Amino acid sequence: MRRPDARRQIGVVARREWGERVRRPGFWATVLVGVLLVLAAQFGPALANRLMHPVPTARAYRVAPRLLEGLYRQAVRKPRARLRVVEEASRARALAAVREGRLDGFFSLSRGRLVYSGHPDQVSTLVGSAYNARELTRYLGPSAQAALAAALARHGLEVLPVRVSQRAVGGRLAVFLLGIVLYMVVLTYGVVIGISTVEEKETRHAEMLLSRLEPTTLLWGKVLGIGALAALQLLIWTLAWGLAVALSGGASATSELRRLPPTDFLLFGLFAAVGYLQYGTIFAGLASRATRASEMNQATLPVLVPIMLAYFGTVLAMSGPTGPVARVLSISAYVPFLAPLMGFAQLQLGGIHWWGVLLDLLLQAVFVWLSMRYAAVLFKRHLLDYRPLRRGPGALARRGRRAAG
Amino acid sequence: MTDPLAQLIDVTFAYAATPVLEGASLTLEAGSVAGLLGRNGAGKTTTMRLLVGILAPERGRVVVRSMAVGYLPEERGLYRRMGVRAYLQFLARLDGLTGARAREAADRWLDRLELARAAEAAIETLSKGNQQKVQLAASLIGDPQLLLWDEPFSGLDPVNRDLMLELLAEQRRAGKSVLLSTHRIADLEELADVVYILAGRRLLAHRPSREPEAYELELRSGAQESISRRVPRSELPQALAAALERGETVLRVRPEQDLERVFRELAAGDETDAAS
Repeated sequence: MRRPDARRQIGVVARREWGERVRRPGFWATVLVGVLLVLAAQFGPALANRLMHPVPTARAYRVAPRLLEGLYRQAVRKPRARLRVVEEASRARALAAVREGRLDGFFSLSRGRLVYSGHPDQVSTLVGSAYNARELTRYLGPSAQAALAAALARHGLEVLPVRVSQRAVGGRLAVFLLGIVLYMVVLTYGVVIGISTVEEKETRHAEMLLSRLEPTTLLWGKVLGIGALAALQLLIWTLAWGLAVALSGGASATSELRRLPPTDFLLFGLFAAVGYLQYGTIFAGLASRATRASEMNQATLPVLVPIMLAYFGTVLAMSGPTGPVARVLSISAYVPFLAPLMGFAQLQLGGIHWWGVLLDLLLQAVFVWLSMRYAAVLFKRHLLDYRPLRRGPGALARRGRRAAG
Repeated sequence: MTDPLAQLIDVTFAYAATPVLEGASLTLEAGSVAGLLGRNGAGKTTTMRLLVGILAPERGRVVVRSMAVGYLPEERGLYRRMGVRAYLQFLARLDGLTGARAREAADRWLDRLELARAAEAAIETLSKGNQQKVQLAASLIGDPQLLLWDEPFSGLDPVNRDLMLELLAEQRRAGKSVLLSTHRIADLEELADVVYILAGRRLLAHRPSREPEAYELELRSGAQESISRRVPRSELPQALAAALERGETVLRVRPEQDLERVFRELAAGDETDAAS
């Protein structure tokens, strides 16, 4: 039996999924809640500050001359301890100095970000952490930096000519934001894909549909139509954020994102889209195996675990972008499920080349294609399966294995 | 001679360890109406699903030469929140019709099935009978050459059942092929060119006779209980005249259903499973 053009049918199914859900009040309620949260994140801290300090004060940074030395003393807990800072000609030489024990650690620049490397068991690590945490140079104006340099000079210390770049701050924010966006989109719309798919089977409507189209076509239509809905929601939230940044004059934590180049925004969208497709096809597959909409709830948590792992992975990689942990984590940029978030994180940290990004996206696309094919096989194979699943989070997976066998 | 529109050739199929069909064959000629008859659980729905491609045979071949199939499954789901017209348009577009033509087709079937007034209503607000008519329209909207209707009369009132039969006749006149699964033997006897009886996991072809061999005559005399007797076709005028002469009331004259007799004979020894 010959079928009409599958791509056209995908579009028809996607438009139906979109049209049916975009009219629901629940969708717009979620959009509104999201807009309110965006506005709260943008204006909330300033508002709270104003409530706590009714008299407005100008933002000022005073640098105590002994600030850095004080940090060091605090770190080593020795009141009379002294810190010595030397400048090495290259990162390789500094590494060699650490290996030979001449240095406890060193600061270097990685894609504009100040990074500390050294023996983790040395006291200097604590200084590095303290220094990074305070992000001193970020808040210091030129005169304050000069004052600090003069103060340090009296103690034989020197400020290295590095600054935390605004782009790096924006990049880190973008990575964390991608993690949140992916988690939220997968949690919300992955479940919608799952329920929509399993409902087709439950109501037996799928039988009529499969006389017209292939299961792959149906599932692609669902994933893309519901994905368009997620994209609309994110677009509205992004516009709300843009408006809030414009109104606040850029004085907020998230306004650093504005400093990212357009390519980073493009890649953000690309990784978010690929991540959604990856998890969306997994939900489609699980739903193809399920017999009741309620069974999808059991499947949600296990699917979300990789996103959480990837998120923690990015936190680890961010804290030591040139360290061994980050190198190991860079491999996860190519591992399904972890790849969407880890790939983007590695990109921001400079741990991946442009061809690595392409390879990463290509691998993810192949994975999406394969998982969709498998979901379609499951959908057709278990179309007439009405037995409810046994209880337990692994029930869908167990049944899936039996089906594959 | 043209190729058949659909065929099952020596098909064997089982649900897990439950065999349903064993070496079953069926041929659906272009422009013909075929009936599918069998006891509950004999495998009628399975036969339909094999033709649609939802199930695949373990052995044998399924050949469908039609571009599209208008399938009306026995258990019918709908997008309950969708409007009637929107739903039909959606299916028409899946069948390859463009936007304007899909709308035109939807309106045509809404008119034909007397559903125009409910065009904008959500499907879930319709009565069961009207929902069934929407499903019927759904199977017809793409103008398919092959129609597979599984129990199309269930849930319909007599008026809508007549409408359905009318539609079936129209489709036949338009050269469409229909495979009709139903327990309404009288309708099959009247409409079908061939009836496939599912018995012993095989499909046995039977061509209903258009000229009944005999009639069933039901008479009542006074306050006595009615009696039925079989009268050969050649003796019917005399038998009727004699009954009227005796003052008996003629309650019914019914052509003897050859198909029902054959079906009962075949189905009697058929131990079927709940597998259809």
